[in-house]
Amino acid sequence: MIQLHNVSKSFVRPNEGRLEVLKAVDLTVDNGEFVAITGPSGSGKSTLMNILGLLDRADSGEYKLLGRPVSKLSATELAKTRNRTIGFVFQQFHLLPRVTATENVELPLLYSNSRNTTKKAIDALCRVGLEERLNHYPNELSGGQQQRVAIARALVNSPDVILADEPTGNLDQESGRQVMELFSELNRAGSTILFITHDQQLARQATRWIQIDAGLLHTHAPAGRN
Amino acid sequence: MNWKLMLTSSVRMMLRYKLRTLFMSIGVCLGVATLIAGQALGTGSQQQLAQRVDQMFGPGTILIFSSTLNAADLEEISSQLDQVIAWAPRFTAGMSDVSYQGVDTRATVFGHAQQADFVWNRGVMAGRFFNSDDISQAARVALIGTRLAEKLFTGASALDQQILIGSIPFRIVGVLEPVGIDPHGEDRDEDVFVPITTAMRRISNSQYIGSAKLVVSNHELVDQDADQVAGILRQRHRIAAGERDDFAIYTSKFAGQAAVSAKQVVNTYVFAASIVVLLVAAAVISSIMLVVVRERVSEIGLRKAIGATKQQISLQFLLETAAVTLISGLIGVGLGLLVASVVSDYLAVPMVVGLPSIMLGLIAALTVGVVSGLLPAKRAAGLEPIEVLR
Repeated sequence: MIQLHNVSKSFVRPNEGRLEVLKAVDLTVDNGEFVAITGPSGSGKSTLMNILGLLDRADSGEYKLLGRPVSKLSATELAKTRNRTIGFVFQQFHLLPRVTATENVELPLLYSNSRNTTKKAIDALCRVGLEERLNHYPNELSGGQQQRVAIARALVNSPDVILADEPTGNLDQESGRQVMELFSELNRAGSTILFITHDQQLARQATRWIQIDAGLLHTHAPAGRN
Repeated sequence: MNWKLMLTSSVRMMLRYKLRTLFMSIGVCLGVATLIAGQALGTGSQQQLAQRVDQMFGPGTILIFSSTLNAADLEEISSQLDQVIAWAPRFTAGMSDVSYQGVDTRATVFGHAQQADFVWNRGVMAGRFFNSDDISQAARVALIGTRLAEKLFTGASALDQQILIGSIPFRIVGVLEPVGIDPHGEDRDEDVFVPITTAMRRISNSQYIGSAKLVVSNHELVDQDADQVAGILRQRHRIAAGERDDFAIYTSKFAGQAAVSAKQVVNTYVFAASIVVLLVAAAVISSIMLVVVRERVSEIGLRKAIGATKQQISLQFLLETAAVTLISGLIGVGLGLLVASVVSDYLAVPMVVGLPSIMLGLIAALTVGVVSGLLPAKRAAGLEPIEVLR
């Protein structure tokens, strides 16, 4: 599903000079995997996620998504691929205010040729257990519920992979636990999931745990769950 | 892309940010309303003016004003020029007190000849016009306008009643057909007509007529005919070459053009004013939308992350502004028609509403939306998700 080979990325920061964030990284993620990525701040976690999510391009190396090299895709093709292939979950939820849960979940369908968009959105909200909150606005929902709306939005287009950047970072422990449970459930139902976390406890729940440090990847340990 | 969802989401956005939408709409509403009302009343008043000029002049007519005009001048003109098919003198006796059984008012008194009903286009709706006996005997008979009749008799029949013009008693033999307000803004339905001989001898004691109207056979040649009339008058009034005329001549052609072009100036100003309002509206909308884009950077970043292309982001913002301005345009059309009908009632000016002017209003509104949305849309489309999704 995801194949990174020799991928490097560096930024030029004023006063700091050139900063190498990813150093010739290799990573393969197969269909149905549940991967946790941990690492200290500034270790390149988010940069890795951005590259995997087609929001940023690598300086060198090759990235194949579903077997296709992405380096040659135009901006429009990248947008379409993000729409169909990837579901994003962010630490800050990024729900639209003044728009109901259903309409928020409907959003990715706006950019694809979908029919029955409202029904699909409601189905996705049912999958994350929010069938009672369809017409609530984000400010009427708890943090955990908001994040579940965001997960429903990531699911609604049936993506090949879900990328979550610190999905529990803004949640209390209980809500965080529920979100992770939801991820595990989705993974058991077949979804491929990659998530970034600071929390080693959460990382253990994944089928694979990758640590990133100073731009290099290390596999932490074999699967801790079974 | 899902067009239906895109459109409904634009309209939803508009409804959810009510205050912002209100501020964006006001300018377009007012601009379009000005355009529509100005156009409706402008065209209406122009047509009305043309009608009044027609009413006063009629096609193919020549008006002569001169303080030294006499009946012999007119007889000479009509005998020399075959194309003059009818003519009638008019003596203006001016404002005078008019009263009936203690009801006092003032009215303009004109002296007319028997053919004036045709030449001056002032027939009677009740009673009779002047006959040759009235003229030859300088009879004390009068015709009055409908409004004056109302003032003096408040609904009762005016016919055969005795009124005083100044201190002279007159018997009313007819009521004039209503003609409304003339191009100078005076209500011609408040006039009093008496036989021209009566006006000149009994009221004013004058030997000069003052004005006359000629009807010529070919409307197209009226300006040439007027030149010939001027030539005859100069000769008869012994005006040497180089000296100024002691008369003024207006033709129906000249009056029509002058009246219409005067209105055109006003209409052009109203049109220009509405364009200025719309331009200001566009600037306001553009700056509001730029702020909106800044407020919604994370929304834009999110939309791009979940698969919106640059074009779709641009389109979204263009649709949002266009939806606001188009709906404001529709409201503006309604408002303009309302204002036009109120003003039309109040000033007694007819309104003429054309589909082209409504289309023009809506197209202007839509153009404002698209033009003012361009810069904000471009800025929104250029945002990068990784820079704004923090």
